[in-house]
This record gives sequence, C-alpha cells and structure tokens, in this order.
Amino acid sequence: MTNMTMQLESPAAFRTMADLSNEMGDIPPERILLNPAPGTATEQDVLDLDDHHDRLCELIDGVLVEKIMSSRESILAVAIASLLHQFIAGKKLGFVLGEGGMLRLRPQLVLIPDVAFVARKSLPGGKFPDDAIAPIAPDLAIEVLSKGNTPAEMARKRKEYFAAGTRLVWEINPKGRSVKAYSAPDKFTLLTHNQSLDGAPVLRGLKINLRELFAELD
Amino acid sequence: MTNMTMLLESPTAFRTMADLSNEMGDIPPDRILLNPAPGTATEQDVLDLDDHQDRLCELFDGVLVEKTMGARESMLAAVIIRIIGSFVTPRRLGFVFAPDGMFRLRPRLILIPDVAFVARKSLAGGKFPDDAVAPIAPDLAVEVLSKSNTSDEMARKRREYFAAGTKLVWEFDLKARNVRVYTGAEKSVLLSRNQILEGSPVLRGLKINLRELFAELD
Repeated sequence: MTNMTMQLESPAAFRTMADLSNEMGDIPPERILLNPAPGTATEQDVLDLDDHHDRLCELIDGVLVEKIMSSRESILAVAIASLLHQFIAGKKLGFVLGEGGMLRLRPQLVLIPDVAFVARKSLPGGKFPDDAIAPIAPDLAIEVLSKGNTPAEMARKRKEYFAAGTRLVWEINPKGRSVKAYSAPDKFTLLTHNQSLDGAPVLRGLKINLRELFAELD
Repeated sequence: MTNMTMLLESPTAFRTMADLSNEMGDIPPDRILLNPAPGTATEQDVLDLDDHQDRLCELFDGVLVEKTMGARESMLAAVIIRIIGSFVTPRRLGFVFAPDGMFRLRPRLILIPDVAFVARKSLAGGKFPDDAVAPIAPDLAVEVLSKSNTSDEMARKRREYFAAGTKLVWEFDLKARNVRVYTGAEKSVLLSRNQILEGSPVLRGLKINLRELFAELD
C-alpha cells in the first residue's frame, strides 16, 4: 500500500538507476547505496552504517554515497591535517578535523571532508558542538581526489560547501601532484610543482609547499 | 524507524547500485526502475505502470525492469505472430500473444515475451485464464533481441522460463539474422537464415523458412 501511495504522490526524483547515477555525478555504482531507498536515507542511517557496519557514507538529499579513500590518499590527508594542526597550535584559532569528521551542511546533506578546519569565531560561543554529526560548515574543506571521484560529483560538493558558508576548498590531486584552490564553486587557482598553498583568508599566514607535501608519498 | 530496522536486519543492507545492476544482468541503468524501491515492487505496480504510464515493465523478484522494443523488433514480432497464428488457428492448438502479454512464471516474477504461444492442452479445462497477468508459463516464448538486452539478462530469463514449464524459447538476432533455439536454459541450436525453423516440440509440423522471414524486414 505504502509503495503505491509513494509512487502516486512522490515526484519520483529518481525514476531509474540512470537518473540516480546522473544526479550523483555518475560516480561508480558501487558507491551508491540502495538500502535505504535512495531519497529516504537519514542522518541516523549515516551513523548506523558507521557504528555497526564500519562504512563511511555521505548523505546527499536522502541518498547514501560511500566515501572512498585509499591508503595513499590517507597519507596526504594526515600530512595536511598535521600541518594545519601545527599552524593553529596554541593560537586558539579553531579545530582541525581528520578523515571521518561528519558535518551537516544543511538538512539531509552530510559531507565528510578528508580534512577540515572550523574557525572558533564560526562557532556559537566558540565551542565545538557535541553532536555525532556537527551541524556546521567547515571554513576550509580539503578533499583528496580518488579514482572514483568524478568532476560532476566534486562540483556538486563544492556548491554545497560554499552555499553552507565554507570559504575555501582545496582539491588535492595526488596523481597530478597538483591542487586546485577554490574560493567559490567554480573559481580556482591551480597550483603545482614548487608552488605553495595559501591558507588565506581562513588561515592567514599558513603556507604549504606542494613539493614537500607530495614528497610524503615518496 | 523502518529504514533503521531494514538496515540492521536485512541481509541486503549494503546493496549498492552496482549489486543491483549485476543482479539484473548489467543491463543499461535507465531500464531499472527505482520507484518502487527495488525488491519491493509488485504485480500491481506492473499493471499500474502499464495502465497509467504506458510503460511495459517486467518484474524480477520485486525489481521493475523496463522492456524495450524498437520498431524493427516489433516488425519481426508481427511477422512471427502472423506465421504462428496461421498455423495455430485452423488447428485450434491454443493462443498466441503479442509483445504485451504478461505471464506470471512464479510469485514476483513476471515476464513479457515478444511473442508467446500457450497450448490449449496446457490449460486447465482448455480455457485461458481471465487475469490481466496470466498465472502460467507460455509453452513457447519468443524474444527478439534488442541492443539493450545483455546475455546475462537473457540467460536469467531462460532459466525462469524453463523452470516454470516453458518448453521452447526462440531468441532472434535481427542484426545477425539468425535465431537460437533453446530446449533448455543452456541447451540450444543456432539457425542461420538459410535454415528452417521448426516448431517442435511445441508446434509440431510448423516450419518457418528463415530466409523468407527475414526478407519481410527488407
């Protein structure tokens, strides 16, 4: 009964698997969960999957999408988190989140950036929330690209980040040993070789040399 | 609440789009419907889709898969219907079905062959049931292969047909201008356009000249 009602009333956001694939940026199909039914998943499902099944999934308007990160990408994520942490140590600037930090950017939208920084002044009362999924947007979001990430998927994430208040997004490309530093969803600077990532306007004074960063992989 | 329960109890907790695609024989994703949620669709959904949305979908254990048929495939089906009809009618052998005849082979399994024949002697009391979806297996099922059919998909259909009591399956390949005659799910003989297609064991005495048959498409 319920299914019939749903079918007749719901605008049926995803009529076919092709629609869903398209909406999610044509990422590899093994990353898109069908249980719960796409469009009906909630934050609680994100938590349950992590707690009980050890799977990290982002939530995009009711669709659960598994996060992928290989060990190599993790090496870079840790290196960057470490540099961020060193920079803010003692300055009381805010908080650095590692892999697995779940952030609710808006209802039904939970992203898990590879590394994130949340400025103290962005937090109510300067305190980091207690929730399992923090209801805040990071000031700086860092994504280390994997083979299974598509341009359409990343474009959508950037849109969500910036719409929620993020001011800087870094997309690290381990293969190309380059970084795209975004100040808006489609506005970026490409950095490679011996150039440095600049933490401004979020972390003024922070500079990360790319040659040294990517050398962590060698 | 329901979603959580499903997630924790269901053996298909991690079903992803890749799993579903694989189960369905890796057919094009635009043929697999997500509404109702895969695994929950029923016969009523098959009927509703046909009645209200003019879409013909087969049902595989609760998953709706759209049937595709192009004009040329339809043309061939029409010719085959005519030929079988001419043989069957004067002899009162049974009933011939066009490409929208729905057959329930078992609970939650509804196939819609391109052409089907049900022998009178296969029917209880020699009468054809009144249901919108006939609760029987056709004696002969004819499938005209489309570009969007995959070999895994067809193999699964054949398994279902033969398990349900179908005695003969013909798979026509328009492009190659041949037909594979199956007397078992994996037991077949390939006939080329120079050969004669015989109706036995279901329609003894029926002989179709394949050259003439395919010539009708030109």
